Amino acid sequence: METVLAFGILWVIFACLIVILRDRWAALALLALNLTIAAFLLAENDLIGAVLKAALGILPPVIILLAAGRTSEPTPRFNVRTLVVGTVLTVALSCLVAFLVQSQFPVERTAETYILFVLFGVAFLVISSQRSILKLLLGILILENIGTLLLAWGTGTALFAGLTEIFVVLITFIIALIAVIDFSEYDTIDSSKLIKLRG
Amino acid sequence: MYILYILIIPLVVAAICAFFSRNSKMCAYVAVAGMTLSAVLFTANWLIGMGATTYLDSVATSAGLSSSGLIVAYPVIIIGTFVTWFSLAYIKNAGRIYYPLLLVIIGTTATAVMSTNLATLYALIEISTLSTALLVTYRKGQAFEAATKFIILNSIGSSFTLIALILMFVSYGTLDITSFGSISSNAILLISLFLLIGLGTKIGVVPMHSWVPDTYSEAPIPVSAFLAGTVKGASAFILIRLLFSMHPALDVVLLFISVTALLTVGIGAIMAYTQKDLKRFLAYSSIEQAGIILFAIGIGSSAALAGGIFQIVNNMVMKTLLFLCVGAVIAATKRRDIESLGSLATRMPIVAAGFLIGALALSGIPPLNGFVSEYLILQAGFQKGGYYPALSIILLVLTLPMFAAYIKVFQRTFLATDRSGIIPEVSYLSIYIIIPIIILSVLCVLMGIFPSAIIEQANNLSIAILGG
Repeated sequence: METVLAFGILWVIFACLIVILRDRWAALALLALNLTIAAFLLAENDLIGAVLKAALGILPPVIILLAAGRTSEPTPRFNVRTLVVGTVLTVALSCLVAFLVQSQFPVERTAETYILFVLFGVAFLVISSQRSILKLLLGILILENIGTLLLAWGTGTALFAGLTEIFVVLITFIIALIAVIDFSEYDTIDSSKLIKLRG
Repeated sequence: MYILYILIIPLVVAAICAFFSRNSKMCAYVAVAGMTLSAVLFTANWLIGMGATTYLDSVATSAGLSSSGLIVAYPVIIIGTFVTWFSLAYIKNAGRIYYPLLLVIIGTTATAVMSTNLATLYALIEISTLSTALLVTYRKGQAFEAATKFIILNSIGSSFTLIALILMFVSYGTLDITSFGSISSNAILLISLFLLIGLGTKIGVVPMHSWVPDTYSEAPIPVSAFLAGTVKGASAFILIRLLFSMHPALDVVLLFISVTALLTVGIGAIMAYTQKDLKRFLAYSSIEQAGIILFAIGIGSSAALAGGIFQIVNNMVMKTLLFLCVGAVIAATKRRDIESLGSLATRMPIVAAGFLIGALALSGIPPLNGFVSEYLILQAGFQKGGYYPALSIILLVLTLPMFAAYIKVFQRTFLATDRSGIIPEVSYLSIYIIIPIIILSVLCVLMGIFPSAIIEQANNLSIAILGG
């Protein structure tokens, strides 16, 4: 319980940093999130899961950093103060929802339930509050990490964990590639501008 | 011949095309030959023994494939073959990437509908999604914007699907959906909602549909045809499989699905009526069709699921037919704005007849195939009782704008004199464009007049799915 809580607080902090920081620093926050998940899996004696997460979890942030280096980040939709307030509200609201549905989950998973709901809320905040395609990608990657954490609840999950990590890397690569091509074509990776191109 | 090997043919041919073809022309011919071989072998197997389990060897079984999905896998391969033929004439300078990706999507879609293993299913869904994103970007310019929307929204959808599949795995303790036991109704509720959002995004259910018009209008016509008819249908079938593998399906979830379905039908039909671009019109009409299939899932009875599965198969044929007809119009006139077209019926009679048959079939007009499946769904709605008879009547009313839209588009494109005063020049259409249109038109009629064999298969499958 204590291990989950300690790691969980770290994950929530890193996820919240992704909301607030600019693309490059947010990618580093994702890297930290992935590595702490790997450390948690190791602490839970899931050696294969930990190795997979550590080895493949490094790739998405690196790919995002490379893409960020070849693009220019659009002006954020909200300023930092608004994002901080939004993040605090999201965390509070997610905890409230987790509290309301807590009875439906196993008692020994109470800490995980809260952490997963908060991560879910923060992922949606990232997706809904940002304009940069790379930031949207980071939101998707937080969602995928929720899947990885859920896998830790089961047994014999190595195959699924491996598949998930491989496809996360592929998704990251393709979205980052499209972002770079979009930037070379339209000079922006602002998703709202790109969507308005066709009306 | 084992089914697994037939399913693998498109993937093997894709690899050959990608790594060994010296030029795009050769790649195109290899792809057409491979898909034709796959279709012929599949048809032969189908005729010899419908859905016989003996056609799955131990390798296929251990990979989590089940012969119960053959009823959907077969049309996927057949439609895939026609789309590949059509591409041969339609896609100029395909490059080395187009055919390998198209064949990967066909192969993974056909295999996914036969998969009963959660991990295999996830891998196949992701491969199909990623290949589609790359294929949509095949054309430069606005296609990238469409691809951006496609990959972002579908990746969010895939994340939901992944979480749902993992929750299923963790809850049931097995990857095999045929050996699911029982879990709490709260877990079923949570998983069902995640599945609906995840696979609903791929199906194009409102409000996760916004990628559909952009992607279908910017992707090459053969790709749009395959996505709208086949990938969408396959995703709906996978949703049926996963949703009803959990027992019992919750009434509140089914009612929610039914209401979402009606919203999807209504928005799809009304938006389709207002479109001026042929491809965007078809994109919205495919949203409307997705709603009808979803409504069958929402009813949730054995009869409704049989109707839904039949509608999925029909939709593959009807929607592909319409997309290919529109592709033929664009190939011949180089125009896609409905207002700039007209008087094409006399100059393109086969295409006009094909479009009319497809449109009438999609509108549920007898004796075409769409009538039979939509009738089965409505009948199941009335039989279920409760809210469902009223919802079925609403569904019927909501489909009326779509029927009007089909008639309007057909009239303006093929019958009306050109309003711009300039009759579009019509160039010669290749046999690779005409033959798929003729075969699909004939199938729409035959499947409407002689539906019993498919209905029987769909009934058996729906009973098997509901019975666990």
